[in-house]
Amino acid sequence: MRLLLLASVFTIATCGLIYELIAGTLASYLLGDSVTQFSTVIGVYLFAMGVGSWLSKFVVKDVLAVFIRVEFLIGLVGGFSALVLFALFDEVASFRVLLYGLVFLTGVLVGLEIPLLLRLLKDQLKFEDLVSRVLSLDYIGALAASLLFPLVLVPKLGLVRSSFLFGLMNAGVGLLALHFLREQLLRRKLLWAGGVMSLLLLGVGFAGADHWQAWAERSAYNENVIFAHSSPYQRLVLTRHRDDLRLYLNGNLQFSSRDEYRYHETLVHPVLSRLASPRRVLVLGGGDGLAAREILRYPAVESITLVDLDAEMTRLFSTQPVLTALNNGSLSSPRLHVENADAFSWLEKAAGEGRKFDAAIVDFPDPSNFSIGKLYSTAFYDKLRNVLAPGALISIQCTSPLAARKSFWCIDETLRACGYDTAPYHVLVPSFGEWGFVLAAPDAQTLHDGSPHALPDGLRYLTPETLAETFHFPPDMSAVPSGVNRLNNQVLVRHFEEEWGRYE
Amino acid sequence: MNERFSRRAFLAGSLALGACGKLGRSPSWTGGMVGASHQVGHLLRSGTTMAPSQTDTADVIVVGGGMAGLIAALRLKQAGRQVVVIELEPDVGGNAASGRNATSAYPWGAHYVPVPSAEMTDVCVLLGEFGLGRPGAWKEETLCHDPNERLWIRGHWQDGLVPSYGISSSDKEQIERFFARMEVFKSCRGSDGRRAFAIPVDHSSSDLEFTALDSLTMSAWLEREGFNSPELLWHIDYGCRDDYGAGSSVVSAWAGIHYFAARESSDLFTWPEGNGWLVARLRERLEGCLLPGHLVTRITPDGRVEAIDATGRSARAWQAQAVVCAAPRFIARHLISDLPAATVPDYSPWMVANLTLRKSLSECWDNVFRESRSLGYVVATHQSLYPAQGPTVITYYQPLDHLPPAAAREDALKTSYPDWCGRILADLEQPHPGITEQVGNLDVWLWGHAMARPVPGLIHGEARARMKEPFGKIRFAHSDMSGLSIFEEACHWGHEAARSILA
Repeated sequence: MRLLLLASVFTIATCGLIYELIAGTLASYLLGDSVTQFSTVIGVYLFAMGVGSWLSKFVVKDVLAVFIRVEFLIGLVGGFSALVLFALFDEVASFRVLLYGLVFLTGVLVGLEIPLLLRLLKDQLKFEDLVSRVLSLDYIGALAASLLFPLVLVPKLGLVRSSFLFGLMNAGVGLLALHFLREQLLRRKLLWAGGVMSLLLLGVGFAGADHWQAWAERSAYNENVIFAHSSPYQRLVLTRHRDDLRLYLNGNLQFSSRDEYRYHETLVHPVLSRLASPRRVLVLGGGDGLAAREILRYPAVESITLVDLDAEMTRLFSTQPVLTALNNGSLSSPRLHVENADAFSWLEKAAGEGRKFDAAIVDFPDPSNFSIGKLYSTAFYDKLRNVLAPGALISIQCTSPLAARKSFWCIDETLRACGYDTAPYHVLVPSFGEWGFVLAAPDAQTLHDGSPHALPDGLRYLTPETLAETFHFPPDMSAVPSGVNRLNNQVLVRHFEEEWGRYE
Repeated sequence: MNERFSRRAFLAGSLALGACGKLGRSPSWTGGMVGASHQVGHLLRSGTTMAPSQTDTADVIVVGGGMAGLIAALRLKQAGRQVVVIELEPDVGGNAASGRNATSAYPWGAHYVPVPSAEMTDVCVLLGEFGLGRPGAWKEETLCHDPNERLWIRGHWQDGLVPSYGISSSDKEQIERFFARMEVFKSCRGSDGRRAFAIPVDHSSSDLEFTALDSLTMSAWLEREGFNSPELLWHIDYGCRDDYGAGSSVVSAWAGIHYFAARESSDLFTWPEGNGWLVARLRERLEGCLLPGHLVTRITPDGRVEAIDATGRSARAWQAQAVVCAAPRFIARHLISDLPAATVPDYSPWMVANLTLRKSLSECWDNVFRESRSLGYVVATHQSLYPAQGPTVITYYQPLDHLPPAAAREDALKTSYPDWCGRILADLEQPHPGITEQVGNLDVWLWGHAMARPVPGLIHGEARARMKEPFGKIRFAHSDMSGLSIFEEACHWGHEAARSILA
């Protein structure tokens, strides 16, 4: 029995520190300023432990039963703490009151544990042995926790699942004590019921932790998911917070309705406003219909061919009222024709059929993996050239020239290696940051004729002045040699990983 | 083993697997043993007595529809000759055999062609005819896309196949020294002005300074030169086993160095079906000239060729003005009685498996494991330009060089399908825990005689010189005659045979 109680010391010491670390980490995640959060959480927690130790003197009888109840309670409070903090971050008026309240409560309960255990063990060991063993195990448990937490628990289990796991361990210690020391206890049934109930609740929490965490994170990020769908190609998530509608593909923000006009006006108009008569326009990617909305401003446009891999995406953006309100129902325009196909094979087929376009808008996801990197290669731009009419212009979204400078200029260099004339430009989109595009012409020397842009009416961002400004690059975004992206070197994806990796 | 037979064998095998205590249940995937018709081939040894009823005529009969035979036939056909290519298997292709399922096409053997240098004119012209471009401007889509290769070493994936992760400074120093030596060999020329190590092999210098390297093993040379880093020795052994099916203690130093010093570019062409893509281009161009599913039983020096169909029911014969014997030597010697140069090289047996997986596994094309007897796997869907990650097919290779070739062949034939699956998946589980759950289909192909082994004395010895000599109206065309089983050598001999007939 002595061994059992000493093992409990080690376990509860580990659990105790884990709750403190979870609270500190969560507070840093959610509130930022990790130095402040960790300092205050540790301070409150240690103080609360002192309070708990002091309170222990008021436990005069049934010490074992109180200890067991305290274990169940810590299990529940600590086990659910991460989930509760995540879930209620956006719901309660003062998150800090909740945070420090929970930290204080856990601290008080943990503070009660050791004094109670000392009293349970006092008849088994000499005082000097007792103090030395219990306190050394307590500190060893703390070391175990502080190593386990960053190296194993956070990376492998995540915060929510870790906190449930340690809740289960606390409740387990209580149940073990209940089982082995049952002769010394009265009203055992009630204790058993409490223990089993805690174990069940925590077990459900642990098993469903991924689900809860996803749910809790959604609450924490302040957005309501109004649509989520996994197509064969990507995970589509649409969120709304007040008047801000956002689309995420595989977790990457595609647009925010608050400032997408800056992005889409800048993507489309530098191309179309330079063309006297852009009759046939090709859009590659852009299944949200927002680029198409801008293209439809030109009466000269007779047909838009929109090629997007994901039929679910184009269906969603042509049927959902909140989305068609955003894209003005562009995908249902009689002038627009959707083809769900992958761009490489579509280009091959279209070239075979002799189709030609006066303008092309290329709006693919960022080159974050080797599959998408192929859509920014010389092989791709060579194929694209085959469907461009004489005098055609194209624009390409090219990630951020500020955050990913080499990636941006690599795309420009790749286009030039394919014989395109290029004019890079950029715009500030607050929800994205500084964003870059390349305007390109399949024939050399066509972009430097100074021909004016004839912008359509009703734009919210672009004017002849702001448009002229977009072509100027300050020194921190100016051209750097970055190599040509080919299928057999994929330098772009390597730049992109290196550059955006710094922001993760 | 023909396919129907092997499916039946698989059913028996899966019962055995069901009874096997380790798994306790039958596997969740389909598949079985597939592969070359060695049983039909073995008819040759026992001899057959069926007499053909009539004799047709042809300008040229090509015996063997592997790469060398097909290329010889293409050049002869283009020159206006009436050609018949007789192939034992149900389809032509030889070592460049390939398969296809709902997920992807995939190779069963040769799966890439290194980008040729401009001086390799036969190869360049042929690839150009197939629309792959020209030296300096090869077609980008068909070059192996990046990322190309990686190595599983010390529980970690590293870029490239030369060990670099967690190696010591002396390993590093030796690796650098070795590759510096290879760079020197690349530019070396002999007293005859030829490159020390060229492709085709016959364009290499005959200067004794280099050919002397053919008289010792690669291991002996490495020891002599003071190379003993385990990481370097592993890499060289891997290279030899990859190209020759036998390690550095078996192949000659000349062959071992040739692997590292004969090529200028490290770029390579690859396709989902491997070199089966080239076979398909050749097949298109040779339509009407191919006669698969026929076993040639006799070739005479005066141009008579006899064959039976693979079911053994009918016999045919041709009288030709010339014959190209493009079968491997171990078969050729059974077809031509009184063949003076009857020496036959050793052949390495191989096991190749294709696994259809429900999820994609690797963004890299070639994936090699440091601690394994296998050569790892290549990804058939790697060249896809389709941006979504879906199911895939991987091709897993293992030269069976743990025993001498004959014993290894016998051992391989005795190994059951469930045992192969167990070994392959145990190896793949190391870098890819849980891969077994992803397997939808697993087929295994045994190559009894996959490739000639360039043991010391083969490449620059008397036997190989005699293999090249014509015999009456028979010309020979096979990479065996180079001692190296690579596409470029087959291409060379196919062209040589055609040129000699057209001369």
